Amino acid sequence: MSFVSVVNFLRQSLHRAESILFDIAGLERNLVPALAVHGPSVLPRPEHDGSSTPSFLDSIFWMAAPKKRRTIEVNRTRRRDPSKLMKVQTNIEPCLECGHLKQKHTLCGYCYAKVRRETGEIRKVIYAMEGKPLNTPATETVVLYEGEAARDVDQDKRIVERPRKRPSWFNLS
Amino acid sequence: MAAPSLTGGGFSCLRRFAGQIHSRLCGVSSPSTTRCLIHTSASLDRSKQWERNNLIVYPPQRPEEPRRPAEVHHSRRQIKYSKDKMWYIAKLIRGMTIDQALAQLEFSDKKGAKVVKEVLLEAQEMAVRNHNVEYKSNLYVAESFSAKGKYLKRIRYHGRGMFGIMDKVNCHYFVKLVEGAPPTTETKTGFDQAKEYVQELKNRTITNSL
Repeated sequence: MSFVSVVNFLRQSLHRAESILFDIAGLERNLVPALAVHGPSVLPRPEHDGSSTPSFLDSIFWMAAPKKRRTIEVNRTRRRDPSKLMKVQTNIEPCLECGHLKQKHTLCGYCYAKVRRETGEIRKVIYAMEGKPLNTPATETVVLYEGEAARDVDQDKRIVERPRKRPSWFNLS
Repeated sequence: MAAPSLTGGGFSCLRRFAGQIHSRLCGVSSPSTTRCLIHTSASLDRSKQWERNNLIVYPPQRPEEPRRPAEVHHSRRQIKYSKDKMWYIAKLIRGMTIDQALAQLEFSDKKGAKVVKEVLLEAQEMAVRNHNVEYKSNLYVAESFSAKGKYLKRIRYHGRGMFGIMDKVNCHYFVKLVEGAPPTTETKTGFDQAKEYVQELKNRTITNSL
Protein backbone atom coordinates (compact mmCIF):
# COMPACT_ATOMS: atom_id res chain seq x y z
CA MET A 1 0.00 0.00 0.00
CA SER A 2 2.73 2.48 0.97
CA PHE A 3 4.94 1.15 -1.86
CA VAL A 4 2.36 2.31 -4.42
CA SER A 5 2.22 5.79 -2.88
CA VAL A 6 6.05 5.98 -2.95
CA VAL A 7 6.07 5.01 -6.65
CA ASN A 8 3.40 7.66 -7.39
CA PHE A 9 5.38 10.28 -5.51
CA LEU A 10 8.52 9.38 -7.46
CA ARG A 11 6.68 9.65 -10.75
CA GLN A 12 5.24 13.06 -9.84
CA SER A 13 8.59 14.43 -8.67
CA LEU A 14 10.20 13.17 -11.92
CA HIS A 15 7.54 15.04 -13.89
CA ARG A 16 8.19 18.17 -11.84
CA ALA A 17 11.96 17.91 -12.30
CA GLU A 18 11.51 17.38 -16.04
CA SER A 19 9.24 20.42 -16.40
CA ILE A 20 11.67 22.59 -14.41
CA LEU A 21 14.52 21.46 -16.68
CA PHE A 22 12.39 22.20 -19.73
CA ASP A 23 11.80 25.74 -18.48
CA ILE A 24 15.49 26.28 -17.88
CA ALA A 25 16.37 24.98 -21.34
CA GLY A 26 13.96 27.50 -22.81
CA LEU A 27 11.84 24.89 -24.55
CA GLU A 28 8.12 25.11 -24.29
CA ARG A 29 5.78 22.35 -23.32
CA ASN A 30 3.58 22.82 -26.33
CA LEU A 31 5.81 23.51 -29.34
CA VAL A 32 3.67 26.34 -30.65
CA PRO A 33 5.23 29.18 -32.73
CA ALA A 34 5.61 32.11 -30.31
CA LEU A 35 7.01 35.60 -30.32
CA ALA A 36 10.74 35.95 -29.70
CA VAL A 37 10.22 37.38 -26.29
CA HIS A 38 13.18 37.60 -24.00
CA GLY A 39 11.71 36.55 -20.69
CA PRO A 40 12.85 34.91 -17.51
CA SER A 41 14.47 31.54 -18.12
CA VAL A 42 12.53 29.93 -15.29
CA LEU A 43 8.81 30.64 -15.53
CA PRO A 44 6.93 30.96 -12.27
CA ARG A 45 5.48 27.53 -11.54
CA PRO A 46 2.12 27.03 -9.82
CA GLU A 47 2.61 26.01 -6.22
CA HIS A 48 0.92 22.56 -6.16
CA ASP A 49 0.07 20.56 -9.25
CA GLY A 50 -3.05 19.24 -7.58
CA SER A 51 -1.12 16.41 -5.89
CA SER A 52 -1.62 15.74 -2.24
CA THR A 53 1.98 14.86 -1.35
CA PRO A 54 3.48 17.58 0.89
CA SER A 55 6.75 19.20 -0.08
CA PHE A 56 8.82 18.03 2.87
CA LEU A 57 9.27 14.68 1.12
CA ASP A 58 11.21 16.44 -1.68
CA SER A 59 14.26 16.72 0.54
CA ILE A 60 14.44 12.89 0.79
CA PHE A 61 14.84 12.64 -2.96
CA TRP A 62 18.22 14.50 -2.85
CA MET A 63 19.79 12.84 0.23
CA ALA A 64 23.11 10.99 0.28
CA ALA A 65 22.88 7.29 -0.45
CA PRO A 66 25.54 4.59 -0.86
CA LYS A 67 26.50 4.04 -4.46
CA LYS A 68 27.82 0.50 -4.14
CA ARG A 69 27.53 -2.33 -1.65
CA ARG A 70 30.44 -2.46 0.77
CA THR A 71 32.16 -5.79 0.25
CA ILE A 72 32.81 -8.11 3.17
CA GLU A 73 36.57 -7.56 2.76
CA VAL A 74 36.15 -3.79 3.16
CA ASN A 75 33.82 -4.32 6.10
CA ARG A 76 36.23 -6.73 7.77
CA THR A 77 39.22 -4.39 7.44
CA ARG A 78 37.16 -1.62 9.05
CA ARG A 79 35.82 -3.78 11.87
CA ARG A 80 39.15 -5.51 12.63
CA ASP A 81 41.30 -2.41 12.45
CA PRO A 82 43.63 -2.35 15.53
CA SER A 83 42.10 0.87 16.83
CA LYS A 84 38.72 -0.91 17.12
CA LEU A 85 40.03 -4.05 18.83
CA MET A 86 39.89 -4.32 22.61
CA LYS A 87 43.18 -3.27 24.21
CA VAL A 88 44.99 -5.48 26.70
CA GLN A 89 44.93 -3.70 30.07
CA THR A 90 48.25 -3.42 31.86
CA ASN A 91 46.95 -1.85 35.09
CA ILE A 92 45.78 -5.05 36.80
CA GLU A 93 47.63 -6.25 39.88
CA PRO A 94 46.83 -8.51 42.86
CA CYS A 95 45.61 -6.90 46.08
CA LEU A 96 48.16 -7.23 48.88
CA GLU A 97 45.48 -7.79 51.54
CA CYS A 98 43.29 -10.50 50.03
CA GLY A 99 45.04 -11.65 46.83
CA HIS A 100 42.15 -10.90 44.49
CA LEU A 101 42.85 -8.82 41.41
CA LYS A 102 42.41 -5.07 41.44
CA GLN A 103 43.12 -2.12 39.18
CA LYS A 104 46.03 0.07 40.21
CA HIS A 105 44.04 3.29 40.67
CA THR A 106 41.04 1.61 42.37
CA LEU A 107 40.23 -0.05 45.68
CA CYS A 108 40.12 -3.83 45.73
CA GLY A 109 36.54 -4.96 45.07
CA TYR A 110 36.65 -7.85 47.53
CA CYS A 111 38.04 -5.76 50.39
CA TYR A 112 35.53 -3.00 49.65
CA ALA A 113 32.67 -5.52 49.69
CA LYS A 114 33.73 -6.97 53.05
CA VAL A 115 34.05 -3.51 54.63
CA ARG A 116 30.67 -2.59 53.15
CA ARG A 117 29.04 -5.69 54.64
CA GLU A 118 30.37 -4.92 58.14
CA THR A 119 29.34 -1.27 57.82
CA GLY A 120 25.83 -2.42 56.95
CA GLU A 121 25.67 -4.50 60.13
CA ILE A 122 26.90 -1.55 62.22
CA ARG A 123 24.29 0.68 60.58
CA LYS A 124 21.53 -1.82 61.48
CA VAL A 125 22.56 -1.64 65.15
CA ILE A 126 22.61 2.18 65.00
CA TYR A 127 19.16 2.21 63.37
CA ALA A 128 17.83 0.02 66.16
CA MET A 129 19.41 2.29 68.79
CA GLU A 130 18.02 5.49 67.27
CA GLY A 131 14.50 4.19 66.82
CA LYS A 132 13.16 6.90 64.52
CA PRO A 133 14.77 8.82 61.64
CA LEU A 134 16.77 12.03 62.24
CA ASN A 135 17.45 10.97 65.83
CA THR A 136 21.26 11.05 65.72
CA PRO A 137 22.80 12.31 68.98
CA ALA A 138 25.32 15.16 68.77
CA THR A 139 28.20 12.98 69.97
CA GLU A 140 30.81 10.77 68.36
CA THR A 141 30.18 7.06 67.88
CA VAL A 142 32.59 4.26 68.74
CA VAL A 143 32.15 0.62 67.71
CA LEU A 144 33.15 -1.98 70.30
CA TYR A 145 33.39 -5.69 69.60
CA GLU A 146 33.32 -8.75 71.86
CA GLY A 147 35.52 -8.57 74.90
CA GLU A 148 36.19 -4.84 74.65
CA ALA A 149 35.32 -2.28 77.27
CA ALA A 150 34.82 1.44 76.90
CA ARG A 151 38.04 3.35 77.55
CA ASP A 152 38.39 6.79 79.24
CA VAL A 153 38.44 8.49 75.85
CA ASP A 154 35.10 6.89 74.95
CA GLN A 155 33.15 8.24 77.97
CA ASP A 156 31.09 10.91 76.13
CA LYS A 157 30.70 8.91 72.95
CA ARG A 158 27.79 6.78 71.78
CA ILE A 159 28.84 3.13 72.00
CA VAL A 160 27.72 0.65 69.31
CA GLU A 161 28.10 -3.00 70.30
CA ARG A 162 28.77 -5.69 67.72
CA PRO A 163 28.62 -9.29 68.98
CA ARG A 164 31.58 -10.63 67.05
CA LYS A 165 35.37 -10.64 67.05
CA ARG A 166 37.01 -7.39 65.94
CA PRO A 167 37.96 -7.58 62.22
CA SER A 168 41.68 -7.33 61.55
CA TRP A 169 41.25 -4.34 59.33
CA PHE A 170 39.18 -2.28 61.83
CA ASN A 171 41.54 -0.81 64.38
CA LEU A 172 40.38 1.02 67.49
CA SER A 173 41.49 4.68 67.62
CA MET B 1 2.11 -36.38 2.21
CA ALA B 2 3.40 -37.03 -1.28
CA ALA B 3 5.83 -34.12 -1.49
CA PRO B 4 6.46 -32.65 1.93
CA SER B 5 7.74 -29.06 1.82
CA LEU B 6 10.62 -28.12 4.05
CA THR B 7 8.56 -26.12 6.54
CA GLY B 8 8.44 -26.81 10.26
CA GLY B 9 5.47 -29.13 9.81
CA GLY B 10 7.10 -30.82 6.82
CA PHE B 11 10.21 -31.61 8.84
CA SER B 12 8.31 -33.49 11.55
CA CYS B 13 6.53 -35.45 8.76
CA LEU B 14 9.91 -36.38 7.33
CA ARG B 15 11.09 -37.52 10.74
CA ARG B 16 7.96 -39.68 11.23
CA PHE B 17 8.43 -41.06 7.70
CA ALA B 18 12.06 -41.92 8.48
CA GLY B 19 10.94 -43.55 11.73
CA GLN B 20 8.41 -45.74 9.87
CA ILE B 21 11.08 -46.82 7.38
CA HIS B 22 13.44 -47.53 10.30
CA SER B 23 10.91 -49.70 12.15
CA ARG B 24 10.00 -51.56 8.98
CA LEU B 25 13.64 -52.28 8.12
CA CYS B 26 14.50 -53.31 11.69
CA GLY B 27 11.27 -55.30 12.25
CA VAL B 28 11.69 -57.50 9.14
CA SER B 29 14.86 -59.21 10.42
CA SER B 30 14.59 -62.40 12.53
CA PRO B 31 14.88 -62.20 16.34
CA SER B 32 18.32 -63.82 16.34
CA THR B 33 19.93 -61.30 13.97
CA THR B 34 18.41 -57.95 15.03
CA ARG B 35 20.58 -55.53 13.09
CA CYS B 36 19.56 -52.03 12.22
CA LEU B 37 19.95 -51.35 8.52
CA ILE B 38 19.75 -47.61 8.89
CA HIS B 39 22.26 -45.18 10.33
CA THR B 40 20.54 -43.48 13.27
CA SER B 41 23.35 -41.89 15.29
CA ALA B 42 23.64 -38.14 15.81
CA SER B 43 26.78 -37.87 13.67
CA LEU B 44 24.92 -36.20 10.80
CA ASP B 45 23.88 -33.27 13.02
CA ARG B 46 26.86 -30.92 13.23
CA SER B 47 25.13 -28.29 15.32
CA LYS B 48 26.35 -29.66 18.70
CA GLN B 49 29.72 -30.95 17.46
CA TRP B 50 31.82 -28.73 19.77
CA GLU B 51 30.54 -30.38 22.94
CA ARG B 52 30.97 -33.85 21.41
CA ASN B 53 34.69 -33.11 20.88
CA ASN B 54 35.13 -33.74 24.61
CA LEU B 55 33.92 -37.32 24.24
CA ILE B 56 36.66 -38.54 21.89
CA VAL B 57 39.08 -40.95 23.60
CA TYR B 58 42.49 -41.47 22.05
CA PRO B 59 44.24 -44.86 22.25
CA PRO B 60 47.13 -45.00 24.74
CA GLN B 61 50.28 -43.35 23.40
CA ARG B 62 53.48 -45.25 22.79
CA PRO B 63 56.48 -44.20 24.91
CA GLU B 64 58.36 -42.67 21.95
CA GLU B 65 55.47 -40.42 20.87
CA PRO B 66 55.47 -36.80 22.02
CA ARG B 67 53.05 -36.16 24.86
CA ARG B 68 49.59 -35.15 23.63
CA PRO B 69 48.44 -32.18 25.76
CA ALA B 70 45.02 -32.36 27.40
CA GLU B 71 42.26 -30.39 25.67
CA VAL B 72 38.84 -29.31 26.82
CA HIS B 73 36.13 -27.84 24.59
CA HIS B 74 33.41 -25.76 26.15
CA SER B 75 30.67 -23.52 24.84
CA ARG B 76 27.61 -21.57 25.83
CA ARG B 77 24.61 -21.27 23.51
CA GLN B 78 22.03 -18.56 22.97
CA ILE B 79 23.77 -15.76 24.87
CA LYS B 80 21.74 -12.52 24.67
CA TYR B 81 24.52 -10.54 22.95
CA SER B 82 25.64 -9.69 19.44
CA LYS B 83 28.03 -12.07 17.68
CA ASP B 84 30.05 -9.15 16.29
CA LYS B 85 30.50 -7.59 19.73
CA MET B 86 31.33 -11.00 21.22
CA TRP B 87 33.99 -11.48 18.54
CA TYR B 88 36.05 -8.62 19.99
CA ILE B 89 36.09 -10.28 23.41
CA ALA B 90 36.96 -13.66 21.86
CA LYS B 91 39.78 -12.04 19.85
CA LEU B 92 41.17 -10.38 22.99
CA ILE B 93 41.75 -13.62 24.88
CA ARG B 94 42.95 -15.74 21.97
CA GLY B 95 46.36 -17.22 22.84
CA MET B 96 46.46 -15.97 26.44
CA THR B 97 47.04 -18.08 29.52
CA ILE B 98 43.82 -18.71 31.41
CA ASP B 99 44.84 -16.52 34.36
CA GLN B 100 45.68 -13.60 32.10
CA ALA B 101 42.41 -14.07 30.20
CA LEU B 102 40.37 -14.12 33.41
CA ALA B 103 42.13 -10.96 34.63
CA GLN B 104 41.39 -9.10 31.39
CA LEU B 105 37.77 -10.20 31.37
CA GLU B 106 37.21 -9.23 35.00
CA PHE B 107 38.08 -5.61 34.33
CA SER B 108 36.46 -5.30 30.91
CA ASP B 109 33.32 -3.19 30.73
CA LYS B 110 31.59 -5.32 28.10
CA LYS B 111 28.46 -7.32 28.87
CA GLY B 112 29.85 -10.37 27.08
CA ALA B 113 33.01 -10.33 29.20
CA LYS B 114 31.06 -11.53 32.24
CA VAL B 115 29.59 -14.44 30.26
CA VAL B 116 32.95 -15.40 28.75
CA LYS B 117 34.55 -15.34 32.20
CA GLU B 118 31.89 -17.77 33.50
CA VAL B 119 32.47 -20.05 30.50
CA LEU B 120 36.24 -20.03 31.09
CA LEU B 121 35.85 -20.85 34.78
CA GLU B 122 33.46 -23.71 33.96
CA ALA B 123 35.90 -25.03 31.36
CA GLN B 124 38.78 -24.84 33.84
CA GLU B 125 36.73 -26.78 36.39
CA MET B 126 35.82 -29.41 33.75
CA ALA B 127 39.47 -29.71 32.72
CA VAL B 128 40.64 -30.42 36.25
CA ARG B 129 37.79 -32.75 37.13
CA ASN B 130 37.24 -34.78 33.94
CA HIS B 131 40.15 -34.25 31.57
CA ASN B 132 43.15 -35.13 33.72
CA VAL B 133 44.67 -31.66 33.92
CA GLU B 134 47.02 -31.45 36.86
CA TYR B 135 47.33 -27.70 37.49
CA LYS B 136 44.40 -25.44 36.76
CA SER B 137 46.72 -22.55 35.87
CA ASN B 138 48.62 -24.60 33.29
CA LEU B 139 46.00 -23.97 30.61
CA TYR B 140 45.89 -21.57 27.70
CA VAL B 141 43.16 -20.46 25.31
CA ALA B 142 43.89 -22.27 22.06
CA GLU B 143 40.66 -21.38 20.23
CA SER B 144 38.03 -18.82 21.06
CA PHE B 145 35.30 -17.58 18.76
CA SER B 146 31.67 -16.54 18.58
CA ALA B 147 28.87 -17.57 16.26
CA LYS B 148 25.33 -16.47 15.43
CA GLY B 149 22.58 -18.00 17.55
CA LYS B 150 18.87 -18.23 16.72
CA TYR B 151 17.35 -14.76 16.29
CA LEU B 152 13.84 -13.66 17.26
CA LYS B 153 12.10 -11.32 14.85
CA ARG B 154 10.14 -8.32 16.06
CA ILE B 155 8.51 -5.32 14.38
CA ARG B 156 10.06 -1.87 14.71
CA TYR B 157 7.52 0.83 13.97
CA HIS B 158 8.57 3.78 11.79
CA GLY B 159 6.62 6.87 10.76
CA ARG B 160 3.98 6.99 8.04
CA GLY B 161 2.91 3.39 8.54
CA MET B 162 6.31 1.99 7.61
CA PHE B 163 7.83 -0.80 9.64
CA GLY B 164 11.11 -2.61 9.86
CA ILE B 165 11.86 -6.11 11.08
CA MET B 166 14.03 -5.96 14.20
CA ASP B 167 16.24 -8.93 15.05
CA LYS B 168 16.64 -9.85 18.73
CA VAL B 169 20.18 -11.20 18.46
CA ASN B 170 21.68 -14.15 20.28
CA CYS B 171 25.15 -15.63 19.95
CA HIS B 172 27.09 -18.74 20.87
CA TYR B 173 30.57 -18.65 22.39
CA PHE B 174 33.10 -21.48 21.96
CA VAL B 175 36.43 -21.94 23.73
CA LYS B 176 39.11 -24.64 23.66
CA LEU B 177 41.60 -24.81 26.51
CA VAL B 178 44.82 -26.79 26.07
CA GLU B 179 47.21 -27.79 28.82
CA GLY B 180 50.68 -26.31 28.81
CA ALA B 181 52.28 -22.99 28.03
CA PRO B 182 50.88 -20.97 25.13
CA PRO B 183 52.91 -21.27 21.91
CA THR B 184 55.12 -18.23 21.32
CA THR B 185 55.07 -16.76 17.82
CA GLU B 186 58.48 -15.42 16.90
CA THR B 187 58.11 -11.72 16.17
CA LYS B 188 60.59 -10.66 13.52
CA THR B 189 61.69 -7.04 13.85
CA GLY B 190 62.24 -4.76 10.89
CA PHE B 191 65.97 -4.83 11.54
CA ASP B 192 66.04 -8.63 11.29
CA GLN B 193 64.11 -8.56 8.05
CA ALA B 194 66.47 -5.96 6.62
CA LYS B 195 69.48 -8.04 7.68
CA GLU B 196 68.03 -11.12 5.97
CA TYR B 197 67.41 -9.14 2.80
CA VAL B 198 70.96 -7.85 2.70
CA GLN B 199 72.26 -11.40 3.28
CA GLU B 200 70.17 -12.69 0.37
CA LEU B 201 71.65 -10.00 -1.86
CA LYS B 202 75.16 -10.96 -0.78
CA ASN B 203 74.49 -14.66 -1.50
CA ARG B 204 73.81 -13.99 -5.18
CA THR B 205 76.40 -15.55 -7.45
CA ILE B 206 76.84 -16.57 -11.06
CA THR B 207 76.32 -20.32 -11.50
CA ASN B 208 79.02 -22.44 -13.07
CA SER B 209 81.54 -19.59 -12.86
CA LEU B 210 85.07 -19.66 -11.52
